[in-house]
Amino acid sequence: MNPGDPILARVRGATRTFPGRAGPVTALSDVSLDIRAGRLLVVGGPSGGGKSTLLNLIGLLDRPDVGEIEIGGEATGSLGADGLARLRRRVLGHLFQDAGLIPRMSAGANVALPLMYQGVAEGERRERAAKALEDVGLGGRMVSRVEELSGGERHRVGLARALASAPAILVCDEPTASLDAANGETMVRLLREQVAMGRAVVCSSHDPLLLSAADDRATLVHGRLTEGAPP
Amino acid sequence: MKRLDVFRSAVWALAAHPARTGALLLALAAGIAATTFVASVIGGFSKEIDRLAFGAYSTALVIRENAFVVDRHGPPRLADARPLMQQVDGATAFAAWADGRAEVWRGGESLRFDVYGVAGRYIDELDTPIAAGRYLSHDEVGADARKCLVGHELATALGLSAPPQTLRIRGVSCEIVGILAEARSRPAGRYSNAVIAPLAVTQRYFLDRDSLAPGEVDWITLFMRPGSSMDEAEIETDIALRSVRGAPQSRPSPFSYGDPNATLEQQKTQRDLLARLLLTVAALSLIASLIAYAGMAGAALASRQREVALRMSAGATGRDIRAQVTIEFLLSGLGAGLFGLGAGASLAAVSARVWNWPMILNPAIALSSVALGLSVGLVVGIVLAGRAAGLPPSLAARA
Repeated sequence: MNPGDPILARVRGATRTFPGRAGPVTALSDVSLDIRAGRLLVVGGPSGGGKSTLLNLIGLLDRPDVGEIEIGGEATGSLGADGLARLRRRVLGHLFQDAGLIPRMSAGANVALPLMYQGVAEGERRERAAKALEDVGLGGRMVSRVEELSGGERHRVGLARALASAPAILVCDEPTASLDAANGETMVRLLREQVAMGRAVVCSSHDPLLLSAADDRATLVHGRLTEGAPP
Repeated sequence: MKRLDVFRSAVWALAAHPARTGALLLALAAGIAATTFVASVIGGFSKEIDRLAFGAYSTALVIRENAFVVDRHGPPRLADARPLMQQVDGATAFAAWADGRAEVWRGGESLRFDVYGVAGRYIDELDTPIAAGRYLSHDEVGADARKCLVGHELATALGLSAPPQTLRIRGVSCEIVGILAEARSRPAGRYSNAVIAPLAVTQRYFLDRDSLAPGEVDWITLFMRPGSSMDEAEIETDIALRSVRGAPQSRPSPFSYGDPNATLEQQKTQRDLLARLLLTVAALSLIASLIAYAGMAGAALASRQREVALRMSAGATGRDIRAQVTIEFLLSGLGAGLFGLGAGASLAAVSARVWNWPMILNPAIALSSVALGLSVGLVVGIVLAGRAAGLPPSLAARA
């Protein structure tokens, strides 16, 4: 952790509980951490430890029951659903474990999706989507449908979509989990490139390759932070 | 998000799942087609029943002498027709008739038949096509021409084939200019064993009765514009006729008005019952299709929860999602309305051709079908759009 890098997101005392058959299940308990620009933070820990829940909170896909998430200096607790959506489209990019592409849609249309919700004109959208695909090495796949892509290509399209709107924070849930070694290496390289460009990248992962490439590490066990990145 | 993009996204969502969209569209279109079909059929069917049962009398008033009053003013006169045409609102034409019986001997056997003398526009009331030859012309009916038409039953009995031929009635010859075919309606069946000739000629030569003075007729038929109120027509006619004939308005009318509406009403009750039955079946079909449509729409949206959440993760607001889903279902409703209208109208056209009755597809039915599809699409769309907009964006992270 380099204290000199600007903080793009803060998590303070975040607790998230879900209803369960045998009573409420605490997925995250009193977690606090900072996410800094130009750093790759990898959150590790056993399955069920709360990694995905933490990433959902940082990515503004969910809200903590207790605690506060601050993104780009803006407290999110008082924001409504549309306010969170606007902040998501402005600051955040998401890469999901299965890439999270919309089936039956072309790779280019998937990548252009965040730009469409930003109100970017169609021509510019197409150009920026093509550029984003080129950046991840898929320049010729603009019109290919999701079903025509390999697993590795889908992940790279997912990354291109996450980066198309030039977000300050990139949130990646297990980005290498379903990739073979070669594709995993490519993904790690691409993520490092984003870090080098000054973005904050937050990933959940068990992958030793990704963990070794991390600038900062945090470990979640039973919803509690046991290692790394305390504020 | 721009409006055009919302529209494009909605169209994409429908086009991306053709089987699901097709099933959704068919579910609603089936109900709309059923109601369109029934509405079209009922209109044509009712008209056909009226035509078969009443022929020209479904929109006509038949004026006769009222034999049951003390102050009698004699039968209607041919001369009464003109003032009636001028004074009765909605009167479009008239025909005046005198009838009687006659006989001819053929092969030692007596053949008895009816003789009708006619003036005015008789062809509508005759309501029977020509099998051979032609109708009596307007000039022939108005003049003293000894020309006549023969009903198909009488023509067969007399062994008549193609005109011109001659028939002698009461010793006076009459040139047959046409032989009638089978009647199109029940009332017109009376002309099948009859001879129809101009009124003046008939009264002078062919009728063996002295109850009618020259110019008097057995009845006058006043044809009304379709849709006219027959009750009002009867009142106006009675006032006009009493005035012409000097009959006081305060006394019971010396004329009777065969009110086809009386029997028509009875027939209408039965027809309306059938119409209601058909409409009930159509309404049930529509309800079933609405339930199917709503259920399929709900299932379609449920299967797209992840897509909706992924759009949210990409920055879509609740308003963006609501707009897209509403337009999706509005478009599917519009499609179902148009498809249902086409299918229902085509089915009605085929039925009309097969069963030989007129099909009535008026603009109101067409507009209602499309409006129904749009309304259902809008309501279902609004409900499901609200549900979609309320989905948690965290669903995007669930593979």
